[in-house]
Amino acid sequence: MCSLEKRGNVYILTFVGDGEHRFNPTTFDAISDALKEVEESADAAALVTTNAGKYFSCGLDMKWVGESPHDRFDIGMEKLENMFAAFMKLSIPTVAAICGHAEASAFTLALAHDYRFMSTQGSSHLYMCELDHGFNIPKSMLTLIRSKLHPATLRDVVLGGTKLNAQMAFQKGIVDAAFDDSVGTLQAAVKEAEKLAVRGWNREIYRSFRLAAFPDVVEELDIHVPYRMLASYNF
Amino acid sequence: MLRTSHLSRKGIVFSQATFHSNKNSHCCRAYLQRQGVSWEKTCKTKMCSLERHGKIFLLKFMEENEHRFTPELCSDILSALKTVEQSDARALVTTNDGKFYSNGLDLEWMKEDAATRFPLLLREFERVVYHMMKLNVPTIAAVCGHAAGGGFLFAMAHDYRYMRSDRGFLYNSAVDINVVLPSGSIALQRTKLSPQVFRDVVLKGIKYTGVEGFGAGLVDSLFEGPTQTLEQAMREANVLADKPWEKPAYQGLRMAMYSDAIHKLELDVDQGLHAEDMLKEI
Repeated sequence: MCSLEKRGNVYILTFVGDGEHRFNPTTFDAISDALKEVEESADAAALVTTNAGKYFSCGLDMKWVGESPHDRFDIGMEKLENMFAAFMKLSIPTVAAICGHAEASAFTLALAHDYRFMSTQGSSHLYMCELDHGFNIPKSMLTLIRSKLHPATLRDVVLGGTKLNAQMAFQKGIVDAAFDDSVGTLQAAVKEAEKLAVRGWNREIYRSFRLAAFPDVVEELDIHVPYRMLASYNF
Repeated sequence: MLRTSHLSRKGIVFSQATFHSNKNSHCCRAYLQRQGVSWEKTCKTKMCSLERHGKIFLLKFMEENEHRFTPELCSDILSALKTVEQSDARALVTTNDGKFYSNGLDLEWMKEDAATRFPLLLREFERVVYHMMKLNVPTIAAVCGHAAGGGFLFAMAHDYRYMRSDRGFLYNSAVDINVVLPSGSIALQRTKLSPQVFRDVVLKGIKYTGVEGFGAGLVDSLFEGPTQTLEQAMREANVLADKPWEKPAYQGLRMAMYSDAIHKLELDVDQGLHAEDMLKEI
C-alpha cells in the first residue's frame, strides 16, 4: 500500500492508490519495512510521509477487525502503538504532507511526525472520530496526542470531536502550514525536509532529543496495555 | 415551613429550587440577623443550588458573597456532583450570583488553626476538583465574577469556560499568599495551560481580566454581562447534551487526556496533605 522514494537525502513514503489507506497487518508490515529501510540507510537525513488520492488515511481497518473482533482489536491496537513508536524513534526529522482526510489513528500518526503540512484541496479534514463512535482511545495514544497539541486544542479535538480543515488546523497550531493543493503541499514538505537535511544533525542525538522532548510517549506505547474496546474505563 | 409572607411583602423572593429546608433557608438567616442573632451559629446556609433544566444541570453559587470554599461547601458540591453523575443529565453548567464566582478557600477560617485546617480544607477542595475532572458529562463554567485561588482552580477543572468581559478577574493567588499548592493542583494547571501561561499563572500571579484571559487561552468565550454569559453557556450545554456521545466514553476520554493531573489529585486526596509542605511561612 505504500511506496518509498529517495530524492537525494530525503525519503518520501507515499500511501498509494485512491483508497482509504486503512491500517491492517499488510499495510502495517509495508510501513514497518519502509521505516526499517530508511533507518538503515546511511545517508538518509529526513522523511516525508504523504498520500495519493482523497485520503491520508481513515485509520484502522474496521472490516479486518470486524472479522474477528475478540482478538483483532487488541492486535490492531498493538500494531498501531508499534507504528507510532517506530515513527517517534526514527533518527531523522519527519514531515507529514497531509493531502487528504486524516481520521482517528491516522490523525495520531500525523501528530507523531515532527512537522505537519496540510492541503486545503477537497476540504481535507483532521478528525478524531473515536468519541462520536463510542470507542476508547488508549492512554498511550492520548499521551502522544497530548504531547503535540495545545491544551485547549486537545480538548476541542478529543472531547469535542471537531473536524478541522487545513485553515482551522493551522490556526490551532496543529499543522505548521496550509497550502492550496496537494501538489503544492508535497512540494513544500519536501523543500522543508531538504532544509532540515542540510543541517547535518547527528542522528542518535536527534532521536534522543525527540524522545526527551516528548517524555513518556514511547515508554507508554511500548508497554501495550490491553485495549478496552468498550467505552468505560476502570482506573 | 417557616412563615415567609412577611418577608415576601418586603420583596424577598424564594423559589422552590433554592429553598432546601427550614434550617438552610436564607430567609431564616435574614430573620435571625434582624433579631440580632448570629446566623452562623444557628443554621448553615447551603451556598450552592442545583437546578435541573431539561437535559442539563445548573450548579449555582448563591447570593452576594465571596462563595469561599469551606468544608461544608465542598461537601455540598460533592453531593451535587454525585446527583449529576447518577442522573440521566448530559451536561453541567456552573455559575454564580453576585460579584464573585468564588474567591477561593476560606482563609479566615483556616488561619484560626492553620496547621490542621489548611491541609484538611485543601484536601477536601482537591477532592471536589478530582470529582469534577472525573465527571461523566461535559462541563461549562459560566464565570460571572472574580475567580481567584480555589475559584480559579475550580473554573479550570471544567471543560469550557465562558466569562463576562466587563467585570471580574481570573487570578491564582497562591504565590501572593505564600502557599505552595499541592502537586494535584499544579498538574491540573500544567495540563490545561500553555507553557508560558502556566508560568505566568503560577509563578507570576497575574490577574487576568476576561479579555486578557481569553487571549491567554484561559477563557473560551466572552460575553457582555452575566445574563448573556449564562444564557450562552446553557445554550452550548444543550448543544453538547444533544450530541450522541456515550457518557462512559466521554468520561474515559477526559480521564485519559488528563490522566497525570487526575492521578496526582487522587494521590493528594487519598494520602492527605501536610501543612509543612504548603505553608512555608509557618
